[in-house]
Amino acid sequence: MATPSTGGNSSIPAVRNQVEVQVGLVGDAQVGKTSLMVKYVQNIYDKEYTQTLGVNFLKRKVSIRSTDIIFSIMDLGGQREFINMLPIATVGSSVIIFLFDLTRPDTLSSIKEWYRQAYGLNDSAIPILVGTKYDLLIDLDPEYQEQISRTSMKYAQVMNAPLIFCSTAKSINIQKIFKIALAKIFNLTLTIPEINEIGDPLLIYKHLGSQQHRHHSKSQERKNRNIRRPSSSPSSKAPSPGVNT
Amino acid sequence: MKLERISSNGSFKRGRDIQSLESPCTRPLKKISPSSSFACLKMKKPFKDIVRKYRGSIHQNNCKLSSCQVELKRPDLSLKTDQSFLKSSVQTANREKIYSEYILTPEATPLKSTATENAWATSRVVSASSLSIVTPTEFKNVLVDEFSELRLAQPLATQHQQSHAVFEIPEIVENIIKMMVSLESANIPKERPCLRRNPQSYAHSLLMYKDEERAKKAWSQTQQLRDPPLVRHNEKTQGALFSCMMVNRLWFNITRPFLFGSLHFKSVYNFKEFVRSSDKTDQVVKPSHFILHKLHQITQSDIEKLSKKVGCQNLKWLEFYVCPRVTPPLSWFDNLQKLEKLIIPGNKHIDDNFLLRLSQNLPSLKHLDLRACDNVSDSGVVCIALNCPKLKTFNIGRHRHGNLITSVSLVALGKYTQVETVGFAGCDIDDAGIWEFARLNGQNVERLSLNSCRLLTDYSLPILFALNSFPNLAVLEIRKLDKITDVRHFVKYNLWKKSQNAPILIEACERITKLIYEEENRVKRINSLVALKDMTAWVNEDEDMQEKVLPDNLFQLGL
Repeated sequence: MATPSTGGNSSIPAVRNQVEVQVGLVGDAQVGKTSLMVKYVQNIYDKEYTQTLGVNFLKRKVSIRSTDIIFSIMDLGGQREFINMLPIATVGSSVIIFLFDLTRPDTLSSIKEWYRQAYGLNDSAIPILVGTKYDLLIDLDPEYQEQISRTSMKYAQVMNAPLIFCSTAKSINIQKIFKIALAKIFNLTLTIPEINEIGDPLLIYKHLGSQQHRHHSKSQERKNRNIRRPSSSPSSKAPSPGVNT
Repeated sequence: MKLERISSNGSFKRGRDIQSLESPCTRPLKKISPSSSFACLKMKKPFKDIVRKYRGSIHQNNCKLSSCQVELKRPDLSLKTDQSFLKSSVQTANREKIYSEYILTPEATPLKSTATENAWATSRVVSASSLSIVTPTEFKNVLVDEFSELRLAQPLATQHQQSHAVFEIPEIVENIIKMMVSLESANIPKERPCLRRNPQSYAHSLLMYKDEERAKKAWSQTQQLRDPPLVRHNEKTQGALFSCMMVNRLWFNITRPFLFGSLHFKSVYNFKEFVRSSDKTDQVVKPSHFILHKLHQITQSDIEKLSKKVGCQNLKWLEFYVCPRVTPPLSWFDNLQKLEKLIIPGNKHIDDNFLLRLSQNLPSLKHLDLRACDNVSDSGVVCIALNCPKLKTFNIGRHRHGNLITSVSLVALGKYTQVETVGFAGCDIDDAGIWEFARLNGQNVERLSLNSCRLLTDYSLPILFALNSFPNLAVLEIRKLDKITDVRHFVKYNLWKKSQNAPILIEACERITKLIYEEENRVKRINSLVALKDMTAWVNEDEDMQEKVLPDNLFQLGL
């Protein structure tokens, strides 16, 4: 029997698992949505403000062992005129990150409206509440710091959303936002310590946004969709996150 | 519509016209201008415009073309130009004035040639060139509008009907005929294309389609096919091209080469008629396609008779699809240098000697279909493999006499050809044969059918797939391979192909399909668990250990 020297390929090339996660960023104008996205994907921070026209879209691929995680990040311009593009950022997203400016309390109040609108379009996405510009907050009056921290914690409770304070300029908690997002989608065990002290960059996630607390049938449905997808579904470009093999 | 009316009016006037003119021509002329029907014609304004444009350009052209002395006043209406009339008008130039009021009558009988064909041809050239001059692009639309009302004259029912000048222009007629040929090519008899094989049971159908609705549909279709309605093709059928030939001489001449370029028969009647008529003529047609489709009743003597009148020098495609009593005639064998496609499935008369004789002269053969030719054995296939180096498609699948075809055939094909589509269903090829074939030619194989190859075991295909011996495979048929139990590598291979966005089609029997389905689910479960484990490790990783950020895609939706 002859030895097979067929075309140099001595075995079937290994296929990497692929997990695609779509993340939507919403919030008022100038809270730092685009900055957060660019910082996360390209590790660049630009102090200059550039208004987002419509929707920005960036992808980041994280390769770990046999799996590729692809974050598709949709960033919606915060101006009122772009509200009609909200479906682009929300429909099909597994996680919607609601951002507010820690130095401007009114941006936190408008989260109510953002949440209402986004939830209307996609009630199965996991919300995450993110306070930006933490580096500017620490210079402000401690009383104000406590007030905004307590209010945002209340918002997080009501939304059942993990709460994270971050700073794009000083690279605080940026990676953790997306790790928490992934952990919440797939119900992964997360051991990052929480930060609860007022005045510190808050990081509260353990009892928030978990699927057990959410509507049961919906979470079950999502779980099925995410993990055990039928073989016929095409790999990549699927709107919902999933393990493609 | 209007044209028809003219002719119907013109016809009863014809007798009077001839007398009043005292024309020397034998054929009648038709006076139209003062008649009521022409007035009716005038009502149509765009048509008048066309007439004017044509006329203007004709005048210009006539000045230049000295050879044509005929002044055609209304060439647009003189469709079937009377050749004898042309002749007379050339002779009697002094009558030109009178003639100018008349329109040339469309009296030329189809297929009749006269000595004055040259004059006729010249006038045709005039009208053709004038058309091309006065037809700028914006004018085309008007033409299209106008011609939509026109129709071809029916040759038998209305013998003297007029048709439009455009149908006299050879270039345009040729385009029309080409269009007809391309439409007709859909009528070339062929096998029903097979996208998926029929399921063996409803459960199998469900496994194949993974969708209840489609599975039900496929299963019910399969059940219907079990007893197919008997369709007999004995009735007389006429193709549209045949009708085109009956229009007139010009149409006949232009259609003929196209019609005889591709001869295909699916009715015995048509075939016998063709044999009879070709017997009477001395002409030899040299088609590029010659196709007989399910003609059970014809005999070899018919074919031999026909082979004298049909030259095979240009033959590219020769098909005797399930014509069990006939084989390609021996006299053709020396002249098949151009043949690319030879399809003779279901033939009991084809044996090794036939293939040996045939293969000597088939240097260009690319497709060979010998399905269910039960008398062919290894030696015939080896002859083909040795002599047809360009072979791309080869099928020798069968239900009976599988023992006649063994690994010898398969290895010969692998060694001497770069065959891409290989069908060895029901043959006695064994593990060693397929190993050797994969080594020799595995690279080129795109479709592989090994249904019911009872000797194949887990020691060949599964291992060959694990070694990626067929990297370009798109279709794999592995039905009824009872000794195959290991499907892991088929699944792995398919997953790899899917990740390349080129999934392969695996046609398997119910047992193997089920195994594949279970294996796919198992692999998916494992991969999900691995992915979850990897992701958990990543989310808990220390941030300092983060890998470098690599932007994969960067673009902005300009919304």
